[in-house]
Amino acid sequence: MPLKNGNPSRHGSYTLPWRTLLLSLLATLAYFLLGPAPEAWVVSREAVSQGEWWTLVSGHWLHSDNQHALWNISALFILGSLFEAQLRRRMFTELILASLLMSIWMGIYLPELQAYCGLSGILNTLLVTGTIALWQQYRSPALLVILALALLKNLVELFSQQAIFTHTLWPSVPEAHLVGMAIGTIFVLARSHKIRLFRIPISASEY
Amino acid sequence: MNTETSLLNTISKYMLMAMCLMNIQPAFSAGLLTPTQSNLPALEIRDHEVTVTIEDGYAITQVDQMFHNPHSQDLEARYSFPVPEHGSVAEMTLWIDGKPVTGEVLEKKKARQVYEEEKKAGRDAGLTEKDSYKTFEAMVSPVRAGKDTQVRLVYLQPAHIDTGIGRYVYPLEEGGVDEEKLAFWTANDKVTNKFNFNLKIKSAYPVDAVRVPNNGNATIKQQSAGEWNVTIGQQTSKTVAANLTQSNASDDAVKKSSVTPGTVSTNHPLERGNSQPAVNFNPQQSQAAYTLDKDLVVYWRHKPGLPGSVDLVTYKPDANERGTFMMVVTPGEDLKPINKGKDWVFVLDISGSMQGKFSTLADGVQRTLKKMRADDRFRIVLFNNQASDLTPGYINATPNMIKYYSDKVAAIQPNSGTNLYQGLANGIKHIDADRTSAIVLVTDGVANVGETHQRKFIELIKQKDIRLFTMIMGNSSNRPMLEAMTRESGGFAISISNSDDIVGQILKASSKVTHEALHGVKVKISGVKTADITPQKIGSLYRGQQLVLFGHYWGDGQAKVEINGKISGQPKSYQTSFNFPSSSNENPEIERLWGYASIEDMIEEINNFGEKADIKQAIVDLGVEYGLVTDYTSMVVMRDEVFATRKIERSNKQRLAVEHAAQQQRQARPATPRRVDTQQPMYKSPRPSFGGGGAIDPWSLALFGLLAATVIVNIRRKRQHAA
Repeated sequence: MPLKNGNPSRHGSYTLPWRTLLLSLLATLAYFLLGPAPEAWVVSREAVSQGEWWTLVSGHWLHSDNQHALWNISALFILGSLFEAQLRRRMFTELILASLLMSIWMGIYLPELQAYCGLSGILNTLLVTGTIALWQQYRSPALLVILALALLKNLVELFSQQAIFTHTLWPSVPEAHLVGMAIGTIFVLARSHKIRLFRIPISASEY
Repeated sequence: MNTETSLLNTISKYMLMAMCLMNIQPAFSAGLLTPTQSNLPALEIRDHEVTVTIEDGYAITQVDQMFHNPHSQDLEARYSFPVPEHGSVAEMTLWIDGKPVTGEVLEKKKARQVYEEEKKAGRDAGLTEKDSYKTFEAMVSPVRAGKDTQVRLVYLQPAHIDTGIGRYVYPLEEGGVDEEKLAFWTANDKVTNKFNFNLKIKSAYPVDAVRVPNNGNATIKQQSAGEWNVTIGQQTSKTVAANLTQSNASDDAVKKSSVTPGTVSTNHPLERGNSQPAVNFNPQQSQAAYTLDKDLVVYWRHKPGLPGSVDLVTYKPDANERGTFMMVVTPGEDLKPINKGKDWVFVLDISGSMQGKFSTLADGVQRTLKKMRADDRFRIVLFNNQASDLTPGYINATPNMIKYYSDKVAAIQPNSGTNLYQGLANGIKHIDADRTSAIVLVTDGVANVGETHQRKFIELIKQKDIRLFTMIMGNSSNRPMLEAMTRESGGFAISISNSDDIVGQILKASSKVTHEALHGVKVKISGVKTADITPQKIGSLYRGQQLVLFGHYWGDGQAKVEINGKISGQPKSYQTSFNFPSSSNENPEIERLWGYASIEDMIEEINNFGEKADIKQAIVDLGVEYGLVTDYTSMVVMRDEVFATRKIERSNKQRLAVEHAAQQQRQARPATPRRVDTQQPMYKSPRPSFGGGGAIDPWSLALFGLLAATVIVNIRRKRQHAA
């Protein structure tokens, strides 16, 4: 499905989304090798206060139970496969940066949250940056409608303070999805203002 | 992530240090008491060793002490320590002629009389009394000139979990609420030789972290998923040298104590060769291995996401007799957050007894204010001898106002008496009927000015439909009264020690007030005959709170348990059924816990309606039967032959033998799961905790599928267009 350089006219344009495969594989291995919510890697106030800064990023790549891991890693695979050709190397940068920003936000604005794990927050970042990148290419209103539906769902979750369908072992944090989208929006805006961090070589056809 | 938190912690630490420097008068602490206006020389606490086991929902605390008399005359030792939360002394053991002798519980006056007679006769004797809600006092006579006397105290208390976090406090910091006592006694809180604190948590539920805030010397080790050990130990350099060169005498003592019947010999706290933490010698305090002036607080956190559950612990040694049960209900997360703006009335105690705790109070208020929503309003009422408003009516919770009033609270110097009634009366004035309101009462809870009767407080709080949330500061507070009036209002009470993680305690409290609660909770048990259930009145269950019930049952078999209440006015019911066993003998201590919980109910009635002879007699009977030190019973220790001469039944000795045997049995096996609703879970959702996870759901995946379809359609269109 991913398109090489996002150019559909090129022969043999379908290419393996190796970055997505690698990330999905790492998340799956982390779950099976480290187990559900491994204490040394989950982001928590205690860990960060003890100087375990890596947990600010690693916590977002871990899961609390089978259902949690299955849904999140499946979503990573779908979204990554869809957006990898558009985002390419930026996908890595954005996911890592989103993990970091999300942890900082939680540390400041969710003081009652002692520990967190799960990909879904940063997947919402990916959803925004990837969908906007696709929209910039195809200008299809349907893409914006889908983004609006995702926003609506996250807002409903926020106001009901409950995830609509999920019943994972660790209680859901509905704010994380909306904040993930907000971080994605910041990335898009930053990119549109051509901040150097996000500027990557993009073929003319993408604009 | 926690830059702000770290900064606040640092600021609060400096605030605390500054306040400590300002507070010239140190807080009274646990220790050996000597009359201030007398020429009696002070005794020495040579060793102070604490062994705590937390298992099956309750904690057993064993305190072994060695008192030393360095003087040339025989003296009486009087050791005082704060009443632990819902704790009752169940054992006092004196080593007489090298042999341990356990105490028996008698009616308070009689126990005192017996002790005084023995003391006068110059025979070895001990007495443990309870001074209402304030302190336990253990007296030992004589501590012979130039000799040591070994004494053991054991108390039991329930160990609850709140929002996935357990909390144990070894209370040492006396509240300083009793001015007469402060003036009369001088406390020697220095341990000169050895201090050890060993706490073992044994949980069938996985525990993923253990913390000892405010004590950098604690050694924390995990043994298995649910088993953890906490050790704090300090010795003087003199002792280390002495241990190396004078081990013979100690070895003799160990040999004697290790053959003590009924003791858990493999873990004897006085045993040499126990795994010791690093020696921490402070040259500034070369005369004190440890000072008993700060509470030791231990937290343990269950693994997040555990299911809501019902646990049952029983004791029924004879299948044909009455059994005792302890049922612990840990609700699942089904209380929704409240998103409407609220009015908060802070009623703050600024009386003199708050001096040692005021920095903690100011810090707590500041943090609570910071957690307010933009549409919340607050009012602050202060009280000592009189009550007055700090704020001119309700103030919108804007950052500027929060900072302004936080600073004003922090600048207050506590003084004078405690007119709690006036403070509360001012607090419930001007309640806006159109808005949800709550009173946050922060006090050490000893009303000594104006109205002081519990009944009047309850009548006052019932005048308005308002919830009272009480933060009980420090030890020796009038917890029974504060808990009673809080329960009547449908609110909750939370204890705060100066050694607590204040942020954590506030988070626990704030997660309760920002969520719905199950009010008017009633429990119905059918299918098995039950009686004597305590507490008689449950009240409300807030987010993260457990429901702990004690009672008696007869027979065995399947019982249906139903919990009913109302959430936001809507009836709510939870059911399950499980088996009550025909016999069980692993947890004899729950008989004492039931006894003490029943006594607390009766004390509440006395506090409400005054002392009545029949209730007083019932307390004495329960205290004597279950070997509990209460307001009306004390524990006395004498030579074995004197017990026989005085024809005092050795029922507590027999009870202790059964308990010690059960403790040895439990020590030898891993933690036993007590969950009974696995077949028919009472709750569908997991327990609330402070951990959270971000999860994608099928709805989101469907959206992503739609997204993929849209992209594919667009690609095809573009291709067709290109072709």
